[in-house]
Amino acid sequence: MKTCGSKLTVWSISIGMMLAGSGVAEEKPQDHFERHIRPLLLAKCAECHSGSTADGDLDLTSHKGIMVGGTGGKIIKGKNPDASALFSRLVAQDEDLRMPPDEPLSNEEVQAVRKWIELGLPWPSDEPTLHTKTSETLSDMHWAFEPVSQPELPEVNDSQWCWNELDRFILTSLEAKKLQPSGDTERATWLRRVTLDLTGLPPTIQELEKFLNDTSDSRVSKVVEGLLSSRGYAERQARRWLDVARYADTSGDGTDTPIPEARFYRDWVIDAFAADMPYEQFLIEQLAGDILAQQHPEDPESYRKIIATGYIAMSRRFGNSKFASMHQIIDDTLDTVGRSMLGLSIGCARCHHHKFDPITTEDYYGLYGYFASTQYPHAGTEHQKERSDLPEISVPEDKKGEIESPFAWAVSDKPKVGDASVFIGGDPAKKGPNVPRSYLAFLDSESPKIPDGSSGRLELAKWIASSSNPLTARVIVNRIWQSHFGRGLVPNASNFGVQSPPPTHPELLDYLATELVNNSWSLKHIHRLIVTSHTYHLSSDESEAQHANDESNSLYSHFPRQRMDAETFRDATLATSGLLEQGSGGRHPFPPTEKLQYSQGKPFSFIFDHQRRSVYLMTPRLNKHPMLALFDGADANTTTASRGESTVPLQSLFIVNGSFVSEQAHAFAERIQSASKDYEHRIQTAWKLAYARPCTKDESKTAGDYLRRYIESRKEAGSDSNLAESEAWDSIARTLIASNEFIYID
Amino acid sequence: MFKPRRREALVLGWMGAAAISRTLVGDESRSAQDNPLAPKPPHFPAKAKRVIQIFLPGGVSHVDTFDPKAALQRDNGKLIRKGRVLTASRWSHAPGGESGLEISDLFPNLREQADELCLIRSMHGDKGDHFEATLSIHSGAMVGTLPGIGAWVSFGLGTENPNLPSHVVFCESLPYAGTQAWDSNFLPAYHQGTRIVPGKEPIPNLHPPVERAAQQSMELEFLRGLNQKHLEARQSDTRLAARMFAYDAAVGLQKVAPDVFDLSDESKATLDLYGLKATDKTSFAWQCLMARRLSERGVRFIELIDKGANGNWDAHSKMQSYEKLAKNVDQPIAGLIADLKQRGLLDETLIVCCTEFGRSPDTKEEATDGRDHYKNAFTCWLAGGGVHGGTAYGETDEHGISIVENPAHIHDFHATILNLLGFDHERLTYFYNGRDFRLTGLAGTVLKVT
Repeated sequence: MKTCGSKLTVWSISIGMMLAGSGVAEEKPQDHFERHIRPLLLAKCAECHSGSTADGDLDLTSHKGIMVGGTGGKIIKGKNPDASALFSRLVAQDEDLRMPPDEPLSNEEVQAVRKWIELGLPWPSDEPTLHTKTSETLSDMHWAFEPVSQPELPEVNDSQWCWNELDRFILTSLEAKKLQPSGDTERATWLRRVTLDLTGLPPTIQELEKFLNDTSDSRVSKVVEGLLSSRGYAERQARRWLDVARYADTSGDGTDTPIPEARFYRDWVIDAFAADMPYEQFLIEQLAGDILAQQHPEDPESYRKIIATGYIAMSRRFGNSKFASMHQIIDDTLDTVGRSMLGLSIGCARCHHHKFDPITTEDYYGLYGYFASTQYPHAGTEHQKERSDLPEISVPEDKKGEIESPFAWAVSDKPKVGDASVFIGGDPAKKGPNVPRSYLAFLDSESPKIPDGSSGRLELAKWIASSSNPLTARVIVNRIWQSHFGRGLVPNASNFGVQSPPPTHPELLDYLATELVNNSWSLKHIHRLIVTSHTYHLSSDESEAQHANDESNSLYSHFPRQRMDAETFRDATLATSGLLEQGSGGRHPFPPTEKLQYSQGKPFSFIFDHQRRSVYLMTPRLNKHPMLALFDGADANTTTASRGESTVPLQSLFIVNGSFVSEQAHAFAERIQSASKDYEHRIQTAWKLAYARPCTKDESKTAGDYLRRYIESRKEAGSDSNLAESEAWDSIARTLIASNEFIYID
Repeated sequence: MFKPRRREALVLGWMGAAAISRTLVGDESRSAQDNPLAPKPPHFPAKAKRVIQIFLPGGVSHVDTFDPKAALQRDNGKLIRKGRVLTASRWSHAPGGESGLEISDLFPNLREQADELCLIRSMHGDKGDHFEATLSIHSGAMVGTLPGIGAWVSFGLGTENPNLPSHVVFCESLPYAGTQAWDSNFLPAYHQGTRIVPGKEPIPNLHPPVERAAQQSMELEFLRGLNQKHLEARQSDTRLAARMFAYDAAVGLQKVAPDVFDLSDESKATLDLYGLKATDKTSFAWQCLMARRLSERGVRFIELIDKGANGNWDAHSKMQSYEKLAKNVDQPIAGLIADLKQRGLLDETLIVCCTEFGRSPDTKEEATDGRDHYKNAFTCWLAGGGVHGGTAYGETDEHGISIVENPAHIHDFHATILNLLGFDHERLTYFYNGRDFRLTGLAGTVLKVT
């Protein structure tokens, strides 16, 4: 990757100044521009005359703009300054006409413009539009746009405390604040923590007992390796990516038409996590897998690469007909690519230059061109009910059981590709100048080398997934950190822009990013680093000193307690009851696609439920699954950076009165009862299943007393003793699922 | 014991917040900070304390209802542009009240309340399809989804009754865009509308199965014991106590809700006002009466949606369907206004009646007995809440095609509602994804309706 554009710019200016100062040699036309004209245009003209909302429709920051002129007509007449308005307006006697309006240019500046016109308006060929943000952006260069640098390992006083290098970064800031970290957590607590974190499921009783009885030094790594290689790991981490990829099984327009093929993408994501696909490849395939597949049609796996571009195809549709609002579809893609992969809100630059980040409207439409050259599939909608443009895939015979359709919900290059033009003010009816497909200029001013006839998505993908892109690796390791500690080192995991507060541990963030890149972009490597650290092993107990000095626990002096997210709560409940069905998702029971006929008046509105893991639930865009909606599930309409954690009485009612928990609790109770005839032993089993820890004597006694009282109460109400006993165990099971210890992870 | 942590993520139920403060801190002054739904003052003294919003989905034809046009009747069939002819309303109209506001015969009861209404006849929007326009009129969103106005009001004002949700939506079948219309989106989830489906179980899971109802308090006591033990070593984490209180709150709701829904204390005269039969527990009249009962109990934002995405005011054909649709809502809404007035609640309760767009005064030459979607002009109205009744704001031309005076964009409409509630719409903001968001986007001008 080349030096960042704005740096280059200022570098040129300073060279220019040096030359001017030393007064050497004949000035080259290009030097004249850099020395006199660029600073002048940026400082005195650009504020009003730039971009798509320029005054008088006159853009003085692009060569084209100057040549075309504005609403007042052309401003350049050949190489004749006196006949050119660009010059004459600078020296107009009439103050109402003279530019700039506030303060006239100095004679020196006026003469520089005269000479520039006489020279034929030399302009940097690689920069059709000046990067307008230069100086102010550079003056306070934002940390996230600086290259990732491998940090030095910090010095710590208590190096014994550190189990791995990660711990040094945590300990050094604790020591600086003279804060004592909490002690290690109970072994059983750690096991529940790491198992739920990595797989979204609680440990089984066998896993618990095995770990508690294991006295070998390698017991932690045995557990971690086991978890990382489990299918549960892939299912759990995939759901997190599906959050940022705004995954859904329906189209999201007024009809919310089902897309049976969407789940191929979901399963591709799960498989990618299972195989620990290098993150760079993971991104490249999602952005340009179809192009890779085209390059290697002989590869029997190429159909999978096409499926990966479901990431783009997910761009929710708007309006009632096919591609009625193409600009909104592409905007959704740009917004998602920006937030999910780069931590940037690119979408803000659709109508105006980004208010905070150095993203210009030209950047936006420079990226727009890749996707305007991309064919999105169409699921059918009110006014065009037929599905169309789903790419064909050739699925090997032995995979046709899983992938029943010859089509993928994916994208392809359009037959006619090319650059896009600016929509002035974001309005597709007002076309501005064409902008070549490009990268984000403030990160990289180099132009992509796009092969003829290609959308260029592969080049874009490789640029995003490059180790020299300062954002990509940082963004994903921060997401992984957030998945373990409940919040990221950067608090908004999808916004690394200028507005975002700096990371709490900037060196740690760069350390993790470097580790990722140096270890073949292995995400498992980062998870492993974190969960085998001492930091991750700390108790969630908080001391008074910690509370007083670091109330938000931004230094990680203890483990931040977390509430299960919606899917984990559902899955953990199913696992505890024993009703969880293993195995992958399979297809959703949608009606056959030939018969998909929905309208705004009669949208698709089914909720399919099952007892498999929540990642396999059918995900509609218009109406959320009721349980996921109640417990802050992801919004499938937009990329979700983190889950909320609301606590409302409707959740309580769902748990104490609703049928889902009732049924689960009943199965859980039967499981407890079948474990043993002995009450004490049953209670132990219940505690281990729900909390992954043995029950204390006190708790056992309290539970036993409660059981007997409940049985009595039910008998008085007319239940026979068998029924009363079964009802009492149901009540115990329900209560455990309802309790704070179940839903909170210590 | 040291002071409990106040987390950003701390979230409480609708209720019990003050109790938490007392229990854990002994300092009631912190309740407003701990309970995001505790009542909050607006920016300046408000005219209205709460909102009852009536949403009539499908796009109500303005020229057939609240913006009737004599000239349209006169010029019926006149070609106004290629292939389009003016089409008279099939209903007559007449002045109502002392103000003499013209309202069509579809709403004889509301016409009697004309002096309470402020008709905004110059509404216009950006979206001409139901899905996007429904989201627009609710959230101001022109693209995609944003928090709805009910969530914003709940966010701005909190709520007065800790035993009930701040934001309630009566909705028998889902409107266009489903639950997104009242979603809290990026605002905290407790601001989202609690949907009440008229019928057997208005609030889901409100009651335990009968066979174990008698044992429920024993079970919850056992639960409290487990949670209390768990809390002992974790006092500094107030989320745990908040979740315990949410269970108490659920019990509170179980106790309060039946009373809310029990109409036995309503007089026959009141029921008659709404046109409600004593046995009726689902009709729009029942919903209007419920809106009054929830208003009395301090719920902040109540929305009533008369029809779903089907069989609504979307009359592409069969304008005659308006007879039945109007009859369904006319007396109940008029009754609600009268009832609030006689109880002295109308001044502090803002009634908003809106639809996502209007319908075209002209139709295709080959008459289809219906009208098309029309976003360029439509009517919404306000009543109560300090609004100057008996007035019309804005005006359309003699045929109802173009706005000729005081255009009111959806953003302006929202700015006005927030203004009546005491908010400067530019300052009611929420920081999300790197910038401040507000209900009115980057626009909005308060309309003179008081």
